[in-house]
Amino acid sequence: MDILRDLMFGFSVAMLPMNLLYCFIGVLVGTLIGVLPGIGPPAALSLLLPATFHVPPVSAVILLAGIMYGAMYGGSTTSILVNIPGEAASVVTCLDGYRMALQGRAGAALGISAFGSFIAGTASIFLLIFLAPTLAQFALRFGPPEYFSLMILGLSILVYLAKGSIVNALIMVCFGLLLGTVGLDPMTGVPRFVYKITTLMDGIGLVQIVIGLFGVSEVFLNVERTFKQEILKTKIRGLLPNREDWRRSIGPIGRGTVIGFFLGVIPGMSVVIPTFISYTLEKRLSKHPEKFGTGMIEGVAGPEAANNAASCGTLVPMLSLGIPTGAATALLLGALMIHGLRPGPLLITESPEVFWGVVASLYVGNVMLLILNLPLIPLWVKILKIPYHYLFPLILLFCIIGSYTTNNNPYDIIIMIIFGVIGYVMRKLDYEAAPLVLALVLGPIMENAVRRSLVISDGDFTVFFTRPISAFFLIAGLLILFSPLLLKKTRVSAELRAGEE
Amino acid sequence: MGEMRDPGAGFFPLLIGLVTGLLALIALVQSLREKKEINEATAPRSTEPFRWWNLVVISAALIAYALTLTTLGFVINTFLFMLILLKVIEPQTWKKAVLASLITAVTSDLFFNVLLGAQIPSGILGF
Amino acid sequence: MKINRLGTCICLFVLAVCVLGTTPAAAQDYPKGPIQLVVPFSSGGATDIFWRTLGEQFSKNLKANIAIVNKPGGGGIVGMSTVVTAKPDGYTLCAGNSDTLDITPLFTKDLPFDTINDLTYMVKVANFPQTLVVRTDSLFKTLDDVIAFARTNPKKLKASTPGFGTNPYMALQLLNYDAKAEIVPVNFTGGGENVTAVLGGHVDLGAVALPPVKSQVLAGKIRILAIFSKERHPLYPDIPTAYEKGYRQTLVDTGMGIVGPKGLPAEVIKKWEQVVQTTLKDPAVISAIHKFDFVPDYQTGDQYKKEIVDEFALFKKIISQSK
Repeated sequence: MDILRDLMFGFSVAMLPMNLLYCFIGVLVGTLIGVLPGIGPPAALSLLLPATFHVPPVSAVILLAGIMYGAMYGGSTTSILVNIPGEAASVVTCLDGYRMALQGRAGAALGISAFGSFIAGTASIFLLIFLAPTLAQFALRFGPPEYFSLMILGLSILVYLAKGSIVNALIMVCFGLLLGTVGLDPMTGVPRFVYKITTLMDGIGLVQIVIGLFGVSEVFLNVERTFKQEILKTKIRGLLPNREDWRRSIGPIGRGTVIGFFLGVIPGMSVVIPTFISYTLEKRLSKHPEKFGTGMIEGVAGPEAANNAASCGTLVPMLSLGIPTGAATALLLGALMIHGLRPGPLLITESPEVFWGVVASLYVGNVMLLILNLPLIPLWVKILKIPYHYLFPLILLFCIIGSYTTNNNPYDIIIMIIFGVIGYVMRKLDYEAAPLVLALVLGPIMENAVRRSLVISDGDFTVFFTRPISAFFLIAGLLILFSPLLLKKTRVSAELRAGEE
Repeated sequence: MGEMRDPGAGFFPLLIGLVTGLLALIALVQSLREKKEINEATAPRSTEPFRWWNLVVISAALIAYALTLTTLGFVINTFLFMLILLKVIEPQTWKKAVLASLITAVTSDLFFNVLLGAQIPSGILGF
Repeated sequence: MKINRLGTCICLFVLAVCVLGTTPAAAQDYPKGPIQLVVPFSSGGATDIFWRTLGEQFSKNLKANIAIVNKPGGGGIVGMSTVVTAKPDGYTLCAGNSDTLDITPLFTKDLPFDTINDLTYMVKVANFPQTLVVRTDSLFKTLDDVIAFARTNPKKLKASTPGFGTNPYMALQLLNYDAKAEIVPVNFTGGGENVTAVLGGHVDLGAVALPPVKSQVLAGKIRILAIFSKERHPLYPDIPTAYEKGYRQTLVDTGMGIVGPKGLPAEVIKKWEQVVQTTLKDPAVISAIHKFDFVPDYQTGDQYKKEIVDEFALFKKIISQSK
């Protein structure tokens, strides 16, 4: 088969000693950066892009792809250990991963995260190889109406994210949506909620909000009273996932991979969204949904797989069409351009060694990451043993650095602090941060989508229903919203019948 | 606000505002109804004193860090930040605090600015 | 003992500050040390890559290190605002894109600074052109087709842009004005979404900067109908300009230049003008610029400023008349 031959060719390129070295450097540096709070693949890539100038083209792309992957693997580390999302997409991992760490199961969480990412990554690469061209064409059919309907679907899933009161969760959703409107309106240039503060012109940074809401607020909570030494003294029960963990995680990993990859293909789809969907799906499918949020390993395995698969998915339009799907792929495209390569439909024919070499190196990188990360687990777990009075200033320092380096703007740190306080208050009042984050990501996409759709259709609302893909998502969304009512009816009537007998 | 053909910038915020208001009312009503159960639920979690001061100091230190970063530069700022937090929250000896702060400041500078090429400012003293 | 050590530390500290915090170097010896060039866009974008590549060249000719710092936000305003308040000694400069300088003030009130009067315009370096494109399978084969259709069907044609107030958006509005057509802009966010919208057939036309769309053109997926520059692009001599078709006002190139805080000494400006002029004569540099589809365009500081001021006036006129 042609593809196999090309793949072999790709491997021959990827396995060149120089490229192997670059791959290794990439994943190593990527992991280290990814571990830092708030610095995810886009930031890691932008930090290191200048360093790739003097590197030969193929190696440069391999290096950058390695960084992207590494950053993604590393992002979950801090989420699990200290409740700080390493990147926006790792927010969901905080929910159950951190709880697992508190129960002494950090090793298992980290382990399943690494394995899940590996399995998802490998599977996605194969999906990419075989499905790239078809998927890319499919992705192009996503226009503003399709995005809107997809976002509606996403919002309807939000209802299931809530652990506690649904009303509170909805309020958080509204708050998130509102926060998403801050900044210059992209369609008319009108400043909204900017109040002449320059930093806010592009909106409030997701990274700063997330670090503040999760990481900084966690520090505040722990510092209220003399440090609860119980957190740290919990015995570390096993460093790797045990058989029971694996049994429970295989399903979520599989589902997460599928969700992540296919959603990641859609241009402009944030990598965050598939992780939320995976989490909610696992919660829905679980026999103990109420336990989610207390340390269920499915809540770590699924989203981490989705995360990795989605990153791979974003490469599909980039490699086959030359279209950037998000910040990370835009940077990769930029890198290709600097090196004189021309990303786009011609890349695969003009520079097959680049295309296939990169694809092969993705696989190599994945393997390297697994080998790299597993031995690091005991090291990470040891970090938890650092006395909290040394640990928390370090945590705060890394939060600061993560917030600052996104835009080199010191006022971003202030935003982080503000959201740290807000997050603290929210935790006290039983408001959850997760729905807010999802709404923050979904809101702008949804709003822009609906407005553009209406401009294109001249104000005709039926456009959302007449286009097949859009209609599909809308109906799915409505079904999901109303399914509990349907299910409740059957459960209630079953109980009634049981009671009567 | 714009018309249907071209929804304006104010449309979405207004919509959200309305929904939020509605939800807030619902929440209010719910909480009023639950008032009777509140007393049993709010047993204090811990008998330890609530240390307001800690939160204030940390917040102040964070804000100060943000404001002085460009003037003092990364290394000095980090050093002072760590020092303050280590001395005030759970007081360590001067020796330990200074040493830890110094090590942290220097290694992070090496790691971020030198190794990674981040652009964290150097401040007026040039480092 | 403790007080003595503390006292010594303080003295050393003060001494260090005095020694190191010297007054700015005399302008004649410019540049004496590294120069910080703020690129008010995010790393990896076309603008950033351009400046990084050129920055290296300028470094060589200036004999000083140029450190690029990315400060994205507000279409360039955030980064630029940090330079406006910097010391006018020539060691903190900003890479200026014309959209930030003459389009943003048109649409956004209450900017933290005045782009025309609070900056020193130092030198212009290059342009990158804007184009009007369609998907290759579109019925429109030339610009004339489009205009003819648009005139008889007002508000029916939709053209994607990378955002409100960007150069392609302005180009579209100018075209509407010149051709007395009413093509409706649909504003996306950035070149990526823009190109995707055209490729996916969600809009009829696209107003796009040249770099993002080039690979699609070469692959035969997108056709460029016209370029909005005054002269035909050296690399694409087959593509007509809107200007030659009679649309005299539709001239929108994104100009790339360097600006600094108000009050920069003349020697600093002169030095930069010299260096840029020399660098742009180098054929290797020219071909590197061409690789990005940019067109080198050296202008002195005064010429640069005049260009921006004139463009601003033109845009202002068109926008107020099309309301």
